[in-house]
Amino acid sequence: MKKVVLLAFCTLFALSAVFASGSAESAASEGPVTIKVWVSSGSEDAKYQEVLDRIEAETGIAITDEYYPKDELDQKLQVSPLVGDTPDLIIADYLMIPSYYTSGLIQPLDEYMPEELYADLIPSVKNETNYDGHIVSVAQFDAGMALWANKSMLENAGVRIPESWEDAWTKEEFEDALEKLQESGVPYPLYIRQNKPSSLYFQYMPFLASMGGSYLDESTMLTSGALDSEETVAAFEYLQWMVDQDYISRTCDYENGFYERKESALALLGHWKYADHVNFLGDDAILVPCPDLGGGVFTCSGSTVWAMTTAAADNGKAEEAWTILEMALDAENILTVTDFNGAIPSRVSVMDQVENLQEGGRLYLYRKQLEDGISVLRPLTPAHMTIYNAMQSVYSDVIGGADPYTALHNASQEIDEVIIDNGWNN
Amino acid sequence: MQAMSETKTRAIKLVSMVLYVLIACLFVLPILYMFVSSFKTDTQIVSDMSTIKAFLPTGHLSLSNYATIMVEGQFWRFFKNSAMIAILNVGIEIVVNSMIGYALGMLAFKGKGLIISLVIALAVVPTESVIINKFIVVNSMGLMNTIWGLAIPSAGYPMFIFLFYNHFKGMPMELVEAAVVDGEKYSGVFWKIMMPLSKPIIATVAIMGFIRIWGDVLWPTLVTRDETWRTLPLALRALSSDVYVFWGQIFAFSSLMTLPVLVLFLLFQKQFIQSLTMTGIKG
Repeated sequence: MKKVVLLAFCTLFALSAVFASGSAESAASEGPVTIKVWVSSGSEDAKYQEVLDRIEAETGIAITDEYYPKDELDQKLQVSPLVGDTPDLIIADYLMIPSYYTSGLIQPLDEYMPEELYADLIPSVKNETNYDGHIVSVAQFDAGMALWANKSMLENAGVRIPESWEDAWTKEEFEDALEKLQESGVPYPLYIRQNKPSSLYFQYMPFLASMGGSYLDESTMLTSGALDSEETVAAFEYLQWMVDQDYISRTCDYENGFYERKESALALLGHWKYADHVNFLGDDAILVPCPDLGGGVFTCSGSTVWAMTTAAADNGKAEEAWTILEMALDAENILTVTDFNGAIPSRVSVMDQVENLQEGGRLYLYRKQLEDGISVLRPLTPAHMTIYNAMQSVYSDVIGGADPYTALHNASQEIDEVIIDNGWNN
Repeated sequence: MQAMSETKTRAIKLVSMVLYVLIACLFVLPILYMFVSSFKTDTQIVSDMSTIKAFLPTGHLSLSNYATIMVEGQFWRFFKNSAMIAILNVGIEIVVNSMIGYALGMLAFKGKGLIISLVIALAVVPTESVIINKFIVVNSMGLMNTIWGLAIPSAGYPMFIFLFYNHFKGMPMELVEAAVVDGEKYSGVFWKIMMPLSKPIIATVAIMGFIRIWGDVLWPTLVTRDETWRTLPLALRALSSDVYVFWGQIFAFSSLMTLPVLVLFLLFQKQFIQSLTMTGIKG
């Protein structure tokens, strides 16, 4: 029996030694610098591969890129420092960066960013890539957000079509437009993607901001007093009112309600639906600004950003990592992505190369809104995922008929508890 | 009087029947919904979602969701990964836990009571609370992104040890003694006598272990890198994001993912139920 136990120990020891030597060997091996990039997977994956392959070919820096769904990437990143496996670069939603920055994962880019390049970035991109007084990431594009509209339906209903955000519909005009559209036979004038309430956390922001509401009080970094404020509650009551009036379908539907089934004349969707809308509706697919509901006209922005990790700096790879980030902002690399997803290039000089973004172009409204600085951001806070998860329930509940104040107040209390517990308000 | 009593008994039976059917519906309808939806288009699924139609094969039905997940979603690649990991894990699980259970249940040695107490205590410790420690150990052994790193760490499971311990404790010691008298070693007694007599408990552990690892998301999330050993739950998660949700593909993927568990259960149903009856596990 003793022999068996001894043999088992020896086998285990030998196995451990083999595994350990394997990892030590790989760590000790030297060669050209390799930059590891983890990407939050999405429809642009192939384009990022194309961009990274091009950068690799032009710079000689070896790049290994791995693609993971958002949640998986988040979980992997959180534990990566424990095993020394943190990538050198990450490409992820800008809202995730504050959390990683707070955890010490993100390397500020202030010392690397050339003034000329920074001056070429549009204001909204500067806002979303800054956190805690530092440049923490770079972005190739920004989101374009306004109302997609079916021109023929608006004309048929006798609704004025605003040309710019400066002549956006007033509240009365907007409500009148919804009524006229309904009377002209459009079943549900406004489509808001109610089958995915989490997306409303972004898309409904222009309405929310226009009514003076917000998700977070930036002076306290808590939601109390903002999420359950009179203005925010009014914005959610307005959403519920539009549902009650059948301006928005109460039952779920899919996104082709606007462009294929033509059940709606307006769609509260962003640049990512460009291809579908133009392919199905042709010249009828136009952009109109979100209405002025009393507090001004707003759009919302935010995008996927590229960030350097502290691991890159710690491992002496910061220069190579920055080279990749800087090259990602080259016109060719930006256009590789934006030509595919229809987003707005982050640099003014690159926007000038896109026909659709010139005055009179189909997407010019997106550009004008961002350049004029009327965009609002979702809160940049380590508590993003907490707020995001709570808000998808709130939107779903309010559309389903729940009392807006109760839903918002309860959510606010739950979110603040998590923020305070984690010290994210300090 | 007797007639009234019979009527009352029948009424109770009827009410019980209705209740059983309702309870059965709670379990069957979601599965039915999943299978039915896997043949529908995204638009049809979402429009049917809040109505009874969700459970009925309405609208245009096709196999296109299945075709998409197999061709574009590389379903079989991830299926092969999950199957290999699950088979390896369940195999190791049965061997390791049964050996410990056998030792605790049938052999006499010092400190046995303490070890049994520790095993029972470990059973109430949530897996998540020790997952980081396991992660560090697996990394230090160079097992990240390998089949071994995915299959081995969860193989030792206190609840399964306890099941085997309970099972072996009830076995007659005379069997061991007779075999030893006949010249059999303890290892021989275990493999040649005890294990063949433990089929129901092995089936139970196999099914429960298979279900546990087949649907596990967290551990593969931490241990895998790239797509070499990517498992089905991780691939399923990739079918939805902030921008898109492929409902039809999600249901087709889930349907195919559920089939092996159903088949395994149907194959070992008899042993599974027999074992549950023997060990007194319910719910």
